[in-house]
Amino acid sequence: MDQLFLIKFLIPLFWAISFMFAPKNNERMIKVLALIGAVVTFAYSIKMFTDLPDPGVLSTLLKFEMPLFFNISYTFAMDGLSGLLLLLNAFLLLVVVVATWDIKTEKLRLYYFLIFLLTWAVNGSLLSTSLYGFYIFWEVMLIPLFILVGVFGGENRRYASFKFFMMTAAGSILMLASMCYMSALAYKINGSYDLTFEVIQSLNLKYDGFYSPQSLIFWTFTIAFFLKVPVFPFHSWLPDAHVEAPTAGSIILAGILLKLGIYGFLRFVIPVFPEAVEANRDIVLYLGAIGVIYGALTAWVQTDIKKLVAFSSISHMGYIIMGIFSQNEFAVKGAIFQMIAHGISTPGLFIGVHYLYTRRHTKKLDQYGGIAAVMPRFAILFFIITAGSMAVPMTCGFVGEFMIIMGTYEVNKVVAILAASGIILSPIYLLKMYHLTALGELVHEENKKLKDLSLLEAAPLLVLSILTIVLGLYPKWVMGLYDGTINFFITKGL
Amino acid sequence: MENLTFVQNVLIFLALNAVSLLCLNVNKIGKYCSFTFTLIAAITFFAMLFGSNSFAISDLFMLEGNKILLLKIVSVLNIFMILINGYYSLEKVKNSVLVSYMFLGGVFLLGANDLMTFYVAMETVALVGYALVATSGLENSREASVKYLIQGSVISVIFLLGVAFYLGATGSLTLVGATVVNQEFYAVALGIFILTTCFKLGAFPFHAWIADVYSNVTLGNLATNFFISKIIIGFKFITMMQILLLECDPHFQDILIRIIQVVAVMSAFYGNIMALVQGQFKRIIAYSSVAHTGYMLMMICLNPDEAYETQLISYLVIYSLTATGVILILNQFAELNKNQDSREILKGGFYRNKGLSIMLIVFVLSLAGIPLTSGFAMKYMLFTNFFREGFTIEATSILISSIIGLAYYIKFVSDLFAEEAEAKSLPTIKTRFSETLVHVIILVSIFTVGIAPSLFLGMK
Amino acid sequence: MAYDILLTIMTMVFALMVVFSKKTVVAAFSLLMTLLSIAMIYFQLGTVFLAAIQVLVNAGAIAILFVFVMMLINLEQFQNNRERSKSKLIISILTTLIILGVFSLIINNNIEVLSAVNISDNSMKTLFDKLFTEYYLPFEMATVLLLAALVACIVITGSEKGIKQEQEKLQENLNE
Repeated sequence: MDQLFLIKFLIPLFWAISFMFAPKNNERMIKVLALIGAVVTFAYSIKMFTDLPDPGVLSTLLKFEMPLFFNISYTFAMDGLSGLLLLLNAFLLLVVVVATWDIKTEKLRLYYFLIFLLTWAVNGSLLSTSLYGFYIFWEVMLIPLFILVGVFGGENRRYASFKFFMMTAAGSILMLASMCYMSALAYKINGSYDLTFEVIQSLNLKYDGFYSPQSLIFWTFTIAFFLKVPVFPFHSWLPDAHVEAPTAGSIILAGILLKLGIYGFLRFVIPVFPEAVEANRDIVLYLGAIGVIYGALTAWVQTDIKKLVAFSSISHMGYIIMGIFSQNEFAVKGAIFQMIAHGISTPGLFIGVHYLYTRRHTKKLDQYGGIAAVMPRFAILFFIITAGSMAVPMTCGFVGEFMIIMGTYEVNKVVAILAASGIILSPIYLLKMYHLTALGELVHEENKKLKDLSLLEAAPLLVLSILTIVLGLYPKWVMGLYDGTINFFITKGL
Repeated sequence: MENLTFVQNVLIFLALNAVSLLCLNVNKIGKYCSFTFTLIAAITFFAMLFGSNSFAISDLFMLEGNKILLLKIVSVLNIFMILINGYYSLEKVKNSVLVSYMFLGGVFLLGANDLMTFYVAMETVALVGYALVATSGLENSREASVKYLIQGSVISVIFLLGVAFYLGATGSLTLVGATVVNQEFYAVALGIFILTTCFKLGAFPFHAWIADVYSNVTLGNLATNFFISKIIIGFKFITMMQILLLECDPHFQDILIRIIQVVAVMSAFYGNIMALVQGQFKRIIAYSSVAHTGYMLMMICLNPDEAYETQLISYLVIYSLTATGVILILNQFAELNKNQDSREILKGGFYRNKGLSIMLIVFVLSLAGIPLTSGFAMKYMLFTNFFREGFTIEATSILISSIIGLAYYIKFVSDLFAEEAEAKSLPTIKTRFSETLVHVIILVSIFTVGIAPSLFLGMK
Repeated sequence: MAYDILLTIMTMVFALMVVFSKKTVVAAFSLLMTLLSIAMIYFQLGTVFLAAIQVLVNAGAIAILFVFVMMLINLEQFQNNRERSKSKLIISILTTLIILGVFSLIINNNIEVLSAVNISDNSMKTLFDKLFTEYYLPFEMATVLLLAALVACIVITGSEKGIKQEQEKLQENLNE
């Protein structure tokens, strides 16, 4: 057990609160404070991850012995998967702070306060082993994002923030209902309301038909996580939220929050309700495949760059949910890798859009064209990241998608073939986007005077591009980190 | 000897209040004397509660255990109210004296073991309630208080009919240790008592007075209503009904419990849905209190238990504190807008006073049930109990209705951050130290109870 | 038995007249008659004391006060001003049905004679025996209730300043 864990865990929270006391007018100091905070968070995340004795096993970091919340003690533990996501979270925090360095707003302190609070809540979700800890931080996450989108967003931000909040919160309250039900059952067996993985297993929920306990609980959890991932029928908040959110919000949303839905599936749904997963697997696989195709086709016709990237997110998450539910070792490995890959490429795309927006203040595709002639650095880096999103071989995106489709093929051929069409569709819209922005003729006058990326601006894009290529060439660096945990996420009997 | 001490104390309480009433009209120092006497009376009463573990006056009145805990909390709130009302204004001192009578009525209501004591005490509390509504100086106060008075009187009369049936069913008026001779009369009596409970707490079919009263009452009176009336009446009625329902014939018990469940679920849905469309904040709080009553009413269906009583007390106290905090802050925001109550007062509030807005956000999120706040802990506690006792479907429906509740609570938050051109020109809001102190106390209590309720509430 | 039914019907008729009559004085008078018929019901049940109290207090004092106050206020503006709405009709029919339902419960039951209720000639003595020994607490509470009502009245009617201001306003209105 780590002695200093509580302090390390609360660092983002204290940092967030410290923003309230920073001097209001000294912009430089606030930004430097944010940068230091992001670096510290990243550093201790790396340290915590490297301190893990064995990534394949959940190692307890801190356990409050005394039951603090009605018989439930707060427990924090980490294994390879959650460590990896923790690392991604801290990394994205650093990327966000650097990429949006030149933000001009009067409410700078509020901005960083919300970002750090969000990071803290995500850390809490990832590190709690008890379902209740997860749920607490899950709900707390919604508020900073709501305020971030509502205050710093685009024109339609009120509608987008409400929609996002209501849809996700509705799902999580359904989840709360199931959790209370399971707690009540657990109380009769153990005398405690706590819901860890072992406790839920011991409840022996039966599965026979749709109305049985295991099935209903499975579906409430699934709908809650579906709303977050988002899977096809429940995705409607995503385009609005992404478009109206400020860049930091979009990056964190796409980079890490969507992954939390998948993490919830991996940690709390799939190992715990094996019969329900097996019975409903086909439905979810089809939904994933439909999400892939739907996301791609809708992205194809968009004229707004940010919306295009948002729908590409839906498409990618379709792959991931397919990989997870196919329960094939290859596919699950690929899906987890694809999570990381998506967490690298999509934030990169959003950063690219942000740089274009700060120069031209428009997100319409037809306003650009031929930028490569004027902003060569941007064009190169943006291309590498787009390639990573498109799943070009040698980039990280390819590894993940390939493994998912190969693994799913062994389980359900039709779904795999449907999803494979995404391999063709994703280059269509992404290349269209790249073509319409960077390539072609410089039609608009304003574009001729655009400044290329400064060193500060290029840095995050550079790092992300390097990661894309390196992980594409040698994915084992990342895959080795969570290898041991795979067996945990594949249901038994398969 | 214990009996005498309690009676002595009550007499002292009454005497001091009567004296304070009399000196109200002395020319210059009247209000200060009044204020002092009322305060001393309240503090003596509070101190007395620590003297012994149980108080009893004959068979009809018994205070013990959880009821004393509740009384301690309510006495503190009473002292709080008197202090908030202050001694600057004669009207407010009169209000304080009146509130002391409500408190005394509440004390007797809590300890009542007999339907006669119960009725008289209930009438005292209700009467002072009517008067408090009538004396609030707002636009529609008189109208609201007349409506409240008429509805309340009808319910009192129906309650008496229920008492008559109870007498017919059990042959005596005691609430403790009665044996039921005639089951059908007993069921009718209990049905009428349930009706009274629904009215007093503001559950669905009988909630009409709540919206009018809450929106036409000054802050101090509303806080009194929450602190004393709602906490004591809620606790007493719910525990009483739990005990009484035990004696019932299973067939009738089924029917009555079914009725309670329907009323609870419908209150939850109705309160939450109606709060969505309100334009004034006090009305939003009113309908949200209808919804919270719905959550609470399901407790009648559980078996009486010490632990449940403690939980009910904590739920009521925390809800009242949070709701009062919200209204306090809303009033502070409204001051500069000349006491308007519409949605406009919050626009751009965050930029005018950050501290107040953050506190309002935390209070509102606590009411909504976001984790890490005490509101979530309380809701969780209640709902796990419901699931444990087997009321799965009803509890799930109520939880689903609280999703609707989220929508209007979030409106508070989003309004605070809304930026509008005119709002920027309004000056910042200054707060008095005493008000800030109150807010900070409530804020701290929300977080501490939210993160680790078992530590602070001493329960498992 | 017949007297029971007759008295009940009389009470209900007068009560309905209070609510539905168009002229206010007729309403007040019907109130008086309602209270008197209730007193007769009490008398018929054997509780002479209650009947006497009912006549003295309710009919003799309160109803007379009603008429007295009505003499002082100009009530013409409130006459002939009754709303007739469909919802009132529906609600009254529903209420009547519910009450009839409850009454049918009583009629269909074998009401056993309960031992605690003991109707003897000295109804007053029994009443006061119980009131001052066993039930003295509610009795004292009732005094507190009356005190609270007094205080409430004082608080509602406002301060001297307020009254003076209202009187001045009235004077101004009259002078205009």
